[in-house]
Amino acid sequence: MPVCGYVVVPRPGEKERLRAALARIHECEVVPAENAEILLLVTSADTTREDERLRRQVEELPGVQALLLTFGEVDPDMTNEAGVLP
Amino acid sequence: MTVIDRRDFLRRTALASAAAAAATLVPGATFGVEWLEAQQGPISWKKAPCRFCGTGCGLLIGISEGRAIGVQGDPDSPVNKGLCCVKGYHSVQALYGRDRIRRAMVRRNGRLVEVPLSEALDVVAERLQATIRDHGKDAVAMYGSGQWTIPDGYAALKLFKGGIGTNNVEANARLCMASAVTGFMTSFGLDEPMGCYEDIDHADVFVLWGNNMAEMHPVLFSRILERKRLHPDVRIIDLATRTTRTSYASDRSVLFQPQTDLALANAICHEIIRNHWIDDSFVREHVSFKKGKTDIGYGLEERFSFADEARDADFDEYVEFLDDYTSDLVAEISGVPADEIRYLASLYGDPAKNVVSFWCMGVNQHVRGTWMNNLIYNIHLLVGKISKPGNSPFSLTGQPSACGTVREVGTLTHKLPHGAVTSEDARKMAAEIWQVPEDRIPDKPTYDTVQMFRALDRGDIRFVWIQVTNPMVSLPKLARYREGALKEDRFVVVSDVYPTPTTDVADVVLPSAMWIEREGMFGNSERRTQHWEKMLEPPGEAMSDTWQIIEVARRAGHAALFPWTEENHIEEIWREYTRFHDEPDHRMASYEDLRARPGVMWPYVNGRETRWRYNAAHDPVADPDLGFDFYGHPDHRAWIWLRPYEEAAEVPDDEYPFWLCTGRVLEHWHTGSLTRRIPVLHRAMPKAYVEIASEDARELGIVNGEQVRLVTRRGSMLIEARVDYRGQPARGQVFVPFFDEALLVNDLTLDAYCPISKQPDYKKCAVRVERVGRGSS
Repeated sequence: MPVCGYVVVPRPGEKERLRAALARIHECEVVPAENAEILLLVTSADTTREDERLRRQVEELPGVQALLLTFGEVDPDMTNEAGVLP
Repeated sequence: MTVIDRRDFLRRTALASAAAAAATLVPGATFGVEWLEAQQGPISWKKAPCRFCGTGCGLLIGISEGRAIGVQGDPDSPVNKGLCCVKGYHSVQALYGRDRIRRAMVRRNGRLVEVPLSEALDVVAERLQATIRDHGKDAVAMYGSGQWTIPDGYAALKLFKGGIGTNNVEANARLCMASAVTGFMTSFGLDEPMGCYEDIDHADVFVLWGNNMAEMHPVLFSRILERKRLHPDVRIIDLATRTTRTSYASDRSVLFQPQTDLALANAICHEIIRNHWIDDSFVREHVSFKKGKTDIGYGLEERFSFADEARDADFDEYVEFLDDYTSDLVAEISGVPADEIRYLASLYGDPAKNVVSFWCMGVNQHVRGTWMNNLIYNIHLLVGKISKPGNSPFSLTGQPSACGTVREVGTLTHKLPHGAVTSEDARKMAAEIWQVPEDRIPDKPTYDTVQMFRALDRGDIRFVWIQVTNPMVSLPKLARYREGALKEDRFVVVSDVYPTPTTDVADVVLPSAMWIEREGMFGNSERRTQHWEKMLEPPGEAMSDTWQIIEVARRAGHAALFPWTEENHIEEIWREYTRFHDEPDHRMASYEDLRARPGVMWPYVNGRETRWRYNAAHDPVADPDLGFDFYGHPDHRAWIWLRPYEEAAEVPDDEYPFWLCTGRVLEHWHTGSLTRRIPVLHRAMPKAYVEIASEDARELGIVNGEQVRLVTRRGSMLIEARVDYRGQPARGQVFVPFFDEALLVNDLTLDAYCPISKQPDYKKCAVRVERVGRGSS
């Protein structure tokens, strides 16, 4: 169940177009900065392979200058399960 | 509480993490709070110091619906100015490991079984009292940590020294910064740095002594790199025994043979004097010369004891002493070319350059750690580059409250919150504040950390309570102390948040509330105290270490020492504790100031922090007529010490031909019990390894990833070899990180220590490397 967080740096002048392109991808959730040329992106996939495919798809969007991974979770046999869920 | 599913929680955390990172990339970037809150529920951001290293970065913790969901660097914190390192960003995930200890456990028929917390506390109190009754008060001990909050350490000290009447209190900071303390005390008469992190913003040269800052203090190293970016003439010099990420980011990497930093520092001083770079008036007016004992041993003998003696020397004697440390002679010992030594001296000696020296474990975990601290101070004192903005010898710490709790509260056998147990005045003050009889506090220290665990092994100590630390991974020559803890009739209590090799030897395990699950304070490397409030409910029956101590104290007949409620005890402890420091040279901020601000540096006098001690322009305690006033010593001078080069306790030979150095890595903090439960960090660095120089690997026929056997006189281990990896040791040396409890490198290390500080040397022992082969075991 990979969930990843990214900071996306668009190519100059491409922020809005890139936001729209990302929003069209079902597994993507995108939040544009109000006052800077930068986007937040969260991806959710069912499998690691699907996550890889999704990342490549985002990387290949023409408006992407840089994609910075800030968060990547989670091996099902590792942490953050019992501790946080009711 | 609203129920959210696991994916939703991860999604929120990912978004908060991205937002925090973006705020660092583009300061001031905003993302529409209303939208974020609509997606995530209301987030409140609350300040706390980072729970990991001694830098003390200010964090803002994002709390939503009773959970910590994100971290950002606090832009108001003068420590990190909004920056964060990878451990800090992911720190809140350490709260939520699935094997978090939620219930107390008591060992019955060889197995730890869950019991109600109140029952476990009863067991601890009963056993504490029974051990004192049967074996005396010096048969019980408390072993804590530089991760103890200030109230934790204070409560422990008060119970053991003021209540029970034993000096058997130690902390793992003995293993990481005791040499820094004895260095400060011998050179200046007072502990902790004279400068502050703001020195970075004024320095022209940074000399890093055995200090891989890029991995161990990454935020401070980022500040250094930023200083260099803005001022390209700034120089960063990495003095080390192995090539690291710090070396690559530096202007010059100077490799020296292990232990020869002593000779190197003296050679720099020799060159400074030979070239007349000395600041004559500063030395004449503010410096005295001292010499101590030499050939002082290594603390390897059972019941080892040592006391140094400061004898007067003079400048001429010092110059003569340095004749043994010409650049040419030291080049032969250290492997550092004489021209490099002269270059280093010229950097310190250039009156137009401000110089900061940083160091941490390379200098402190050293069988002559106190001496090495003295020698770096000697350099700065000779050229008068001290206690001025941008001129600072700066000892960094490795734990978030090694300074605040261990050094300032005094959770070491010889210490009280103000002064040492050997001082009648200090005992009187403690007795008065604690309202206990003056003779309750013994006037002699008992055991330093290594000696404490030797005493547990021998049976002189029968009961030990360990909080917030993992000695069954971190002690040197570990096998002896593990076996000692497991002996019949030893009783070990462990308070922790996760199972560790230390809880494996416990008779009682108490579940601890972690960091922001309780209120507390830490004190960082630059004398900055930082407060945080309780932000979360701890899981299960977990309880703060402070309150565990109070609960046991009440059960064991010491209730009068702790007349506070669960609601007010942190505030009341702070008010009582600061009575010990109610003099201008160490006055601390009020509880209210600490709550309101992102940390306050002491001495805090008339509402002002003291950034540079001993300098009358900045320090209200310093005598303005003197200009610089090293008031920690009776002569109001700093002391230059004549400290020679002496060999390490164990050096490579034909049977064990390599040096073994141990240490840390960027991703993991100390014994890894927290960071290995943060998936991103665990995946990035899943297991320990041994770094081998490529020439040595080729000679031994070892290839990258192959299993090798490391053998010392203490033990052996199988471990994967890394050649040309993140760090590259010099020929004849290997490096192993100690974070991995499955690969206990401390079964191999030696428990030799600095006889003055009693801090072990984890950086130098002799080891043999044997090829085993890929996939073998």
